[in-house]
Amino acid sequence: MRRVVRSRTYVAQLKAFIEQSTETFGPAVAERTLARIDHTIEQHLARYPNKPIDDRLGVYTYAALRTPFVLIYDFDEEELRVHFIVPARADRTSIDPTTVEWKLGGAVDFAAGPTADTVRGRGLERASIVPESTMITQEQNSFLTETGPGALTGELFRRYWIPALLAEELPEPDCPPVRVRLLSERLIAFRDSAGRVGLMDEFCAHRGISLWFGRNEEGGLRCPYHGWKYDVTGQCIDVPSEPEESGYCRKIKLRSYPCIEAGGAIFAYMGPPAEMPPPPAFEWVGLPSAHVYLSKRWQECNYLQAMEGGIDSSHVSFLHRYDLDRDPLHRNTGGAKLTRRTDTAFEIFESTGGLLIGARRPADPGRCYWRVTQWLMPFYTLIPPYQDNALNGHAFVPMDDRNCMVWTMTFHPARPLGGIELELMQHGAGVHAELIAGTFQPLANRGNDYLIDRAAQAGNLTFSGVRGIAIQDAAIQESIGPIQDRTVENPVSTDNAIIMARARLSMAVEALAKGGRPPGLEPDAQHVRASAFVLDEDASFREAALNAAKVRKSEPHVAV
Amino acid sequence: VLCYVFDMTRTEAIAIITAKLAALDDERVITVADIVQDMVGPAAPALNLTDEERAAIQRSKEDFKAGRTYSSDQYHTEMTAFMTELKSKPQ
Repeated sequence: MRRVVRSRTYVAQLKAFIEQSTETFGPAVAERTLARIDHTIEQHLARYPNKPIDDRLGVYTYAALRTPFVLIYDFDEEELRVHFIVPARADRTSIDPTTVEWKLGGAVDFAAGPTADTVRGRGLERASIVPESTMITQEQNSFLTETGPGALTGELFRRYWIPALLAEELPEPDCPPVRVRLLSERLIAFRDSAGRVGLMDEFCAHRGISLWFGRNEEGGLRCPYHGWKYDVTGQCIDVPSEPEESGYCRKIKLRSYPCIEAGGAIFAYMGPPAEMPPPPAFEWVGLPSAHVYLSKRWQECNYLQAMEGGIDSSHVSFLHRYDLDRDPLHRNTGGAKLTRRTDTAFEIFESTGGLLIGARRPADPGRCYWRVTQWLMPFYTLIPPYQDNALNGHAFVPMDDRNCMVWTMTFHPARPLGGIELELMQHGAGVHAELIAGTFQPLANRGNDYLIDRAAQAGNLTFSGVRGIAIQDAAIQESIGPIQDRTVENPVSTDNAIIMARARLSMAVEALAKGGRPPGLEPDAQHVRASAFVLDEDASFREAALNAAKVRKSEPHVAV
Repeated sequence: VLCYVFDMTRTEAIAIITAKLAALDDERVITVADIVQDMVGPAAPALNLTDEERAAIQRSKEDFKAGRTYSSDQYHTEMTAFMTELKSKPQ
């Protein structure tokens, strides 16, 4: 790695470039652009400078966040000397910023912004390694993991309907209110006398008392301290100390969020009212209630590392190895046997609302076993099924930056779930978890070392010593720490889907900052399935995966 | 998927592809070899620079001769201060 030295002229020019970018796109995007430029220089050019175009100078063309630029530099074995940065204007006919010929599978359309084709080369199907350059900076890590009010990724998440509560948490009108922590906001949910659901600031506007202690009665939630009362929109409807004719209470309103009840869940929309998307259209949302079982569990880490576990299909062959043989909802399926193979290769392509992630393992001679995971914006996964077993999915919902709620949706398109299935799931089978009664904290948790059983590990009853697929995931993901430091990870080829999901999330955030519409909001993007199948080696995976992803009402999913 | 990250240099992409050729089957090797061959040319077409930009590059070369340069640490300190100042300005 060469050391990097920058001239005073370059630094002055760069400042002007960033200042211009700030005026055009705002400080957040400008800061990210600067980080990308620095990353390019320090991680790529310093390591692998392109050949100079003549004996004196090298030229490197690149578009950071849709801002094309050209770097001019020279170098020797020890040093990379950066001279100048030039905005790549369209009037430079020799370097057209809208169509730069990279000779790697064709032209790259920079005008359309970074796409899968600019991230992945075309013409090749598989990579053996992911280069070090996919490691991300601390700034990028913060960018992706922070979801509170004002955080860019948080603003993206606020454009989607977010699962906030199980409907059963508010079982009837005037039932006790429920505390909800969502995207670093502390909220209170309640169902009023008419059965309407309200989700609003947890604290009374008067003296900041938690409304969890409130009385839910007669069309609103009343603070027990001085009797202020709020309806489901957060509007204060009674301030007993003030004369009604003063109209004082009409001036008081708590921040509140609209909710939709669907598929056994209560979804909240926390974004700008004018941008409210269509209602959630995931398959499980539209099925009869007898076909669906939902659970959720608190996980003590950032949503991203939990979600990346859901995307990473290759860990199944290790972490969950023996469970697939023993778990009553997985054992004796053809897929469970084939999943034992650890020589997994991936083929991934972008779908309308996320990624289609194909994990390929050898099956019979000349054939491959494919498990196709769906990752859906912004934090959903659909897990490849096993035979006629029910389908499973997760939503990794940020509570705050150090905690998330992992939702598990189990559903069958063609039949009600059986009594035994339900009982097993309620006791932690499949991808659900056994919880401490009255809470969403798993029985096996960080505080008791997940009840690790070293004898079970040594005896190959479990690979990790932790019992249950969901708790194995929780234990591993929480062990990283509350927010994973991704600057020190070493991604390999099986992490391609994770890297692509990060890129897709980043691009969606950047597009939103420029006024774009987030992907995956439309019903068609959500109305898809995961699948698992065996194909001839030379058959088209893409075609088979897209076909299996289609939701066919009342028809079973594709699985082996 | 070839992991051609969009801020990767051409030289880097070539190096990675070349290192992996041995693992590919013959048909794919031929495809990849064609691609690499295409990439081996100049890093970019000749750049049309304005007189002002040429003068700036000349100034940069003189900066290096005169030691008017920033090490990585100096540069990051300078840009951190710059970004702080920039973000504090009203938008």
